[in-house]
Amino acid sequence: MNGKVAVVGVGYSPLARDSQRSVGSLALEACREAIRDAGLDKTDIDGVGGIFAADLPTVWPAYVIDGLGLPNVLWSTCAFPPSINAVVEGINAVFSGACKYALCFHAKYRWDSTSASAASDPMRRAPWRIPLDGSLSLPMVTPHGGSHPYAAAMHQHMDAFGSRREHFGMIAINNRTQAQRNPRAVLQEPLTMQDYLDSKEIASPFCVYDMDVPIDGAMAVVVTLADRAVDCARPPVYVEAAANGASSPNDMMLFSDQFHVPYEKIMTALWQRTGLSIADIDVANIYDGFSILTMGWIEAIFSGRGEGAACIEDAWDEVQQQLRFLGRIPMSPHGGNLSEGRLQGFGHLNEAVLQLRGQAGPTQVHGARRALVTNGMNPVCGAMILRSENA
Amino acid sequence: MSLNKKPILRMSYDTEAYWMGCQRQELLINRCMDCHAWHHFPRWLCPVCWSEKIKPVAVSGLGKVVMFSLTGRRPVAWIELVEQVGLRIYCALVEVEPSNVRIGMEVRLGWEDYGESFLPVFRPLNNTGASLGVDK
Ligand SMILES: [Zn+2]
Repeated sequence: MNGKVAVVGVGYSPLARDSQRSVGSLALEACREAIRDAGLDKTDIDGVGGIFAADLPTVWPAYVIDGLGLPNVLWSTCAFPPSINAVVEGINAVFSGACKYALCFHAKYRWDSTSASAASDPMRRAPWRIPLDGSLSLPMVTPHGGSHPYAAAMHQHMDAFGSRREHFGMIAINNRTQAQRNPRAVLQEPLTMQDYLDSKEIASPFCVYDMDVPIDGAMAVVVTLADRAVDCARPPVYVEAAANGASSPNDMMLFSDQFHVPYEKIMTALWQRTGLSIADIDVANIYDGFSILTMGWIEAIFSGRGEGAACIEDAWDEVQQQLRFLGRIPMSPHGGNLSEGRLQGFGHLNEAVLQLRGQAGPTQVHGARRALVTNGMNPVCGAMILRSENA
Repeated sequence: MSLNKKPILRMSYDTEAYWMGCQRQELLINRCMDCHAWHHFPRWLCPVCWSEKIKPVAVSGLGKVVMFSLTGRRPVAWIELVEQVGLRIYCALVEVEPSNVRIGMEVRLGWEDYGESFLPVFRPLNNTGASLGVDK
């Protein structure tokens, strides 16, 4: 992209464990706020991209188009998660000329299928269910009973590379420390290493702090071409490069040895497409649906395979209780999915935009000019490098 | 928010008022308190002016058939309510022979007991409605 496309609006609904609102209302609010943030109105938006939710049902782009009364939409899609994929689609749509202003959104809800507590709330009953088995392989594994593949992957990493629970704890604590500066974050109470280590393991070696927090919430952005972006209300944040992809073999159920491959492929693509390196990055919003996924990204971005634990130790600031990679790069100033809440990576992107505008408020990284945003896991992940208008 | 948590109705915070109205045999349609536009299905904000000052308001129950289907056990219709051009609700048609249903037919609201809730139905405006237990 090399700066030819820009993010010009960001929007949030309230984020909450129990919003006392419908998921549709959250989607509409986030989208309305993103359009207003850009200084645009309903007639300007001619593209809408959503995300097929991992917790069903999905709020379709059509719901937003109808709910906001958008009269001029010529392009819409519903991409596979993680969240960044909707925005990559939107970037491609404005770049190709399919639309001028693409509204990209994601809404998450604690549906009755999310947890036992949600299941006991009659207002969380999903109106419809569609089985989700994109790998066409669930019947091959379900007869053997429940498992937690990410706990198994974490154990495998510890066994192969000597990482310890403390290293994953530093990821979780960093994000909680950061979240305490983010008024939107759902989890703000301080988290100590002792809290982390004492926490009951849900599936050894994995505890509740290793997984993102399910919430009600929605986020949205508006993207457009750079020459239109300068006429919008806010400072444009330019897309230097975006990539998404997967490795093969990639079956989530079998967890092949390809754990690192998609992260490495995507990061290689981003550096090659931009000519940039990690030295050019001021803030890194690294995906944290599970802490083991953050470990995978950290190795692809900073350290190389198997060196993540040592890299995290080097980056750990015991006084500040946070990570600073290369002595300076903070990770996820918003608190990530682990603490801001589970928007499947959308918060990582919105935070990057606010950082690069200099409008991140209490979480602002002074002088941030370029941000790296990563989303997802094998088999589907994506990442983006964004820059401020001053870079 | 007070919730009458019925076990079978799948209501959301957006549709709760509609369903609670059904239980009282009152057809509530969302109306914008800023621009006064009506909308259905129930949404959190006004699709016309984006205001979130939305109020479920009882409608007259008068309308006309704009589309209908005869494939089910009885006719169903898309009914445009008199309150606003384009304001549609989807309901069963009762007290009319399928072969007599017409586009443009004027209809009015009645209610049927579905157990956990009353549901709106419509019947031809000129029917007396004597066979329906409830009439609004
Ligand atoms: Zn209005």
